[in-house]
Amino acid sequence: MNNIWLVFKHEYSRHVLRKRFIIAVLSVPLMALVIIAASFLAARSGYDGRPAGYIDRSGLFANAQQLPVEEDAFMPAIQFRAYTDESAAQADLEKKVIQALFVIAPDYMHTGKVQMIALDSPGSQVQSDFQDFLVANLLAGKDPAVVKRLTEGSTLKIKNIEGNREMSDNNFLAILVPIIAGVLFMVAINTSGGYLLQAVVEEKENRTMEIMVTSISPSQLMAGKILGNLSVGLTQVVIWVLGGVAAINLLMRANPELNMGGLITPSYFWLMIGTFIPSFIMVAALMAAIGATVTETREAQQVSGLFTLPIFLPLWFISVIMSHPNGALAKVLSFFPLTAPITLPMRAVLTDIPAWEIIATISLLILTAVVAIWFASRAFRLGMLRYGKRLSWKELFGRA
Amino acid sequence: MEKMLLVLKNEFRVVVLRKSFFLTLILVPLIGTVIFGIFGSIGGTDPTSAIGRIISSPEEVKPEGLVDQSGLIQSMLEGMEADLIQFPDEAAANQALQAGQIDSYYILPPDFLQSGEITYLRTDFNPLGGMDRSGNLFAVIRHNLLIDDPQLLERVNQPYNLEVTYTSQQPVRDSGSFLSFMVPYIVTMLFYMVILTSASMMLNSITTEKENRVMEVLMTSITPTQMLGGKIIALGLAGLLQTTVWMGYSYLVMMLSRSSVPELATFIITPSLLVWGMVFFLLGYAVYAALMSGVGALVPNLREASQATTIVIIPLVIPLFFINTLAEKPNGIISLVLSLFPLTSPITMMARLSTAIVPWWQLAISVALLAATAFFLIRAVAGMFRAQRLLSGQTFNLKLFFNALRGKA
Repeated sequence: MNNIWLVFKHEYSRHVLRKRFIIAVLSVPLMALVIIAASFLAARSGYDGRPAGYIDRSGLFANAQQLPVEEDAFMPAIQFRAYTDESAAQADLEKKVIQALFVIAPDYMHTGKVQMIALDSPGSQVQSDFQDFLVANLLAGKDPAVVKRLTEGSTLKIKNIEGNREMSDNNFLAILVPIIAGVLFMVAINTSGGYLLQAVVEEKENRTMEIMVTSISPSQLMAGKILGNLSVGLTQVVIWVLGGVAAINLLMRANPELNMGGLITPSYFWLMIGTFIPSFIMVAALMAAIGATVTETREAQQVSGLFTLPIFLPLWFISVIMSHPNGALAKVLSFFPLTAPITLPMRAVLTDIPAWEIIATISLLILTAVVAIWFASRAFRLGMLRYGKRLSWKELFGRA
Repeated sequence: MEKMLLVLKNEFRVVVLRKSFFLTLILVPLIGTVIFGIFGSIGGTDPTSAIGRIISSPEEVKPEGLVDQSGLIQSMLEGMEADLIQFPDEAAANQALQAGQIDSYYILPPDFLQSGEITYLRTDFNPLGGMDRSGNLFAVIRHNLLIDDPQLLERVNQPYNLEVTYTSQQPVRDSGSFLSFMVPYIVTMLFYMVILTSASMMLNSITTEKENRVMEVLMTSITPTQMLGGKIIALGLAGLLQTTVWMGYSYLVMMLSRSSVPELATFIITPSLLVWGMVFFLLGYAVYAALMSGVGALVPNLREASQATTIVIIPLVIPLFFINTLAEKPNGIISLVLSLFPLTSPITMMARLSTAIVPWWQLAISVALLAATAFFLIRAVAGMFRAQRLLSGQTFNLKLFFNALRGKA
């Protein structure tokens, strides 16, 4: 036990306490911030706040009301100036006083014909704002409640028949949770798996293995290594999750309508934990097994690529899984151990999964994890002192 | 010159004859076609292809129920009576649900007009899959809101049929056609990918030779500039070959599907765009390949190299952030700056060229700057291939990289 602890401590501290690890952990939230800032900047740069002009030949918009302007809006609504004389409007367009000119045809009510004249492409918002402007003035004088329903539409609140789950526009963001969790899971697997592969081959490459095995048993060494490198990946993910939760809390305080609750119930949380932990151990053990059968780091990386592929698979079919959460594909993927950790939580958000399916999936995962660990320690024991020649599958499964 | 040719020939042969190169050459378009085919056929409600049907079997579509407690719904739209069945109260709807007549129903609450809230009950929950059928209900609600003025409803549903005229000489992107709308996005992504992959091949080649210590032997009989020149040209040719094959393949697919998708007929790539594409690809590739080989010369092994390259790639990614702006305002200030700055210009200029006419002087300045950058970078990087640096095994950091670029040890 003491030996495992020693190996664990060594593996963990030599990755976590390095500058590179800290930079890697910090770089993801920083990157997210930069992307958000850049997209705001890009949206703002496509915005043109100049007014636009219109010439009304239909007579419907004689006393047109402007769109209400909110002063502190990110991109305030565009104002529309009425012109009676086309040449004056053209002159203003040339002088760039207005960004575009709309000419409403005399038979507008029947045909909807409107002509837009602009120098080159106008601001991103002008067309949609003009539509809003037209609709608002067409509906002037109607019952405000009716107008509101016509312009804003209605909100759907989806419930299941038992009435214990519901989703509406407010907590729609919750659908993102399993996707984000899945991506985090993969990142953690990739980090830990990468370290693990390297850790297993490393001692072989620099020939310290012979010395190591004089004072520690192979299974102790393996256990310490798996635990240590798993913890590195977990540390990374836990830091991100805590940061993310803090950010969401801040966001909800600033914007109370957003509501992530309702879907992320405690049972859902335990479902995620229950699928992630065993599959994490399973993948890590498989990685270690691969590392143990090959002799060089580079070779190990190639083989491990094969394993990460099925884990990614559900994300390829994400649109199918999400629109048909009870379809054949979604069911099969949520049973298969390598694809289950991402598929099962995704389905759980979108539909009611029978309890037996969840239990079967999780027990299958635990079983594969146990088998994978056994397999890894066997591969490690057999391949430990072997140089220059790969451990073949036949040897691995045969009697040793 | 002769030695450079030797390096070129060897490098090209090694890269092109590699199995993985051949595989990516064939597999990438094939996988693309297959995935596109599958997803194209399972995207809609009724899967068309056999594979699509296996992956997502079509579900039995039952009509939906509607319980109107607000008294708003006075008449159904024509042709919708079978899909949306009205029930007098919730109990009746529930009964129909239990009997299997419907599998979901909507409830419009008494205060619907004020609150706008609709409750939607489904047996299988499934919020995303359920959404695409509620369009029917929304159409019915709108119809009943303006039941006495169908003309007005038509205008509210579709405020205008816009006819757009641009008075300036610039041809402006027609946002009506989906394909011409997509062109700048496709061009930008394509350029990003192609430059990145061919520059990474460079990194791979340098680090491999460094790791197995062939580099030192090579340096005894050839100058770094010759070696770099040969490698850059060879890998550039390989990248060009790859791009040509992929482009040719997608062009072929387009020609074949032209009959079924008439929109494709309007899609034309002008020869001048092709020529400029070639120029900017070669120059942009040269710049990034030089930077990558600089990284390759300094890092001790391939693993550390992949971390170092992220820093080098950042300027290549910047145009992708602004891709919307580039497409909307191809001659705006951001586009201009990004298309002149040498590290971002190859991608940005191509995005601009594919949407608008770029003034010739901007093209000239951009090409000149890019060529000058490529030239000086290659020279500076060649200076990095000195024995002490190749052997040192120093860990890579930015300070080292920039110092080495300036020729300081």
